[in-house]
Amino acid sequence: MSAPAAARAATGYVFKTEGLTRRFSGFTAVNSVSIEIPEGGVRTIIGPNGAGKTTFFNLLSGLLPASEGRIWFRDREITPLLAYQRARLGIARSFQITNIFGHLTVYENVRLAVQAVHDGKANFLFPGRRMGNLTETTERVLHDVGLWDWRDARAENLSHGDQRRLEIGLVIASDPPVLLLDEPLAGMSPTETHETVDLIQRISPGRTILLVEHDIDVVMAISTTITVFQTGSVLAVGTPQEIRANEAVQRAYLGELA
Amino acid sequence: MTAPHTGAALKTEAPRRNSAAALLTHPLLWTAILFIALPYVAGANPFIGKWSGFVGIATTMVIFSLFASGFNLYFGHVGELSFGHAMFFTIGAYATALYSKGFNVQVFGLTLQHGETNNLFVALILSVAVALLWAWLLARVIIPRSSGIYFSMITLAFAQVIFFITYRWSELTGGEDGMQNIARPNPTGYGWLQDSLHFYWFSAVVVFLALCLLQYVLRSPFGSVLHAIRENRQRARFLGYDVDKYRVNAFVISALFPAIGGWLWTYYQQAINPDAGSVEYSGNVVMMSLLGGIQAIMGPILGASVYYELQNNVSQLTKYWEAWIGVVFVIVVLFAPRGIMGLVEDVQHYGIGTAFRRYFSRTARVEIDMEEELPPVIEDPAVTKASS
Repeated sequence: MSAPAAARAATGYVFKTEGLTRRFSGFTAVNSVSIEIPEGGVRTIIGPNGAGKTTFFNLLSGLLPASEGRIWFRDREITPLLAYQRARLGIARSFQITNIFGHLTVYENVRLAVQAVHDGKANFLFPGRRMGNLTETTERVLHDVGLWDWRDARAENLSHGDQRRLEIGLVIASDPPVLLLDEPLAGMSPTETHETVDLIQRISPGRTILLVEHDIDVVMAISTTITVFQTGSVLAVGTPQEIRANEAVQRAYLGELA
Repeated sequence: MTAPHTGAALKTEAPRRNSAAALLTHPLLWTAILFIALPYVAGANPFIGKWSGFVGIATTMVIFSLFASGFNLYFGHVGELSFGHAMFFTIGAYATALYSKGFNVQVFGLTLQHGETNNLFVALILSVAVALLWAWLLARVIIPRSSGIYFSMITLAFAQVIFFITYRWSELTGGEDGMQNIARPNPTGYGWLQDSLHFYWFSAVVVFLALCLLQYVLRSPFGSVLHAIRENRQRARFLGYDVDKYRVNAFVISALFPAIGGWLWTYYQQAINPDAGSVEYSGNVVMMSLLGGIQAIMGPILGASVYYELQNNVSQLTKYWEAWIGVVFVIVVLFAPRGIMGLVEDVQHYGIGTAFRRYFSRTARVEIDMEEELPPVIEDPAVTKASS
């Protein structure tokens, strides 16, 4: 597997955006965002609904093309790259709405994610045994996300929490240096939340995790830095303590919850 | 640690088959058995005292098994309906016919000519090469630009282009009448292929080998990515798969099998006409695939056999046989959407009694499926080998 640390470039940031803008027929979801997201740690993005967090994720991962502006991944500009090309660079993402292969088994789901690292050539004569040891990695990932006992179940039959965990499994299966997790805790029970937070912390060493999350207690507990979005722009960036102390943020967001 | 599922009983069947059972249910084994039986049973109908099979019907069945299987690689496994796969069949068939009969035409002032020739393998290579080249060009153009219903319509449109070329370009293709008296090659020097039963065995072996390749492709890592694309294209993309490239390659390889089928078809009929590329043929393979079951490898093979069995028997009873086949098709789509192979799988899975209760009673179905909802849990540490 590729060691994330070895691939780390000297730039010090994983993502850099410059005037990144996305408009939807008149509505500006992300408005000229220029930020650098440093290498390593859990980098959380918070903000009220409609602040542009998910759109920002979609721009980084290539689901949406930018209306304006540019994006760098480390020292490489990725603005024109398609989603699968960005995924192959090691940018893996989960979705706000669970996005798995519902009719395939849990095992198949993870195996496909592992296989993606080895096979980009779409060669129909390429034999399975030449793909490296998919089985071992697949089994390890299944244990990591705690779905080993459910490996033969169809993914759509899992509980909501387990489906969310499976999606995290799909994201970490390729051992990517950068993870984009879009509200991984949404709709989870307290126990499931606890387990998933554990999982996120367990996989974070050696990687950069970008997290969009609403659960403010979790955000404060696990974030290295927090970026606050409001109406498509960055309102503040800082450590959890700084963000908690920031008056503008309190007015815009934290106050809303209090 | 897991899952607040309902309190239904755990189902503890063994989810992974042992090797003997895997062999006994292997689709290629059953395909081989079917192909060996076909010349003796195809077209037979004990109810009206017809006990023996017809080799001609059997040959049609195996050729269309291959055509439908190739079509279904894209339909059942990538999940998109190409409504023009007959174009590859007709390209294979006409390439063989033109190579065998020779031609002499003027194209933009150039004279293209070729004398009469008779080589089985050159004809095969030509048929496949032309069909694959056309499939590749077409796929490169239409696949990145269309999917779903638009994809179906565009493939239909291109198939019509090929159809009208064969229909109208009389100097080359013989127009509506097509070409007749195409001699079967004589590779052994003993005229072995002239005999219809011999030709059947030759076709069956060719089709069987091609189906082995198809099976290999579907069971390969490539095949599992096709299933991923069928289930969730966006997720496949974000795992890092170049979805359009996979679709293009799958489309090209799915054109290979109809092309081989067309090659056999020309030699079997020893004639060819534009019908081979008609909408009707494109539609028939859709029907065969659905009849047999689109997610199983055996599906289109069985579907083609059942289709021609029905056609042959019903057409002797009534001249409205097409309507009756339509009725069967509607019943299958409404009540057994996974086709014959779906029924077979259900009987394997539930046992024959439960399977039928499930089909005929909605309450029973709900009850049975509730119990099924829990994924099977295996505690046996020895069973840790990968599936797939």
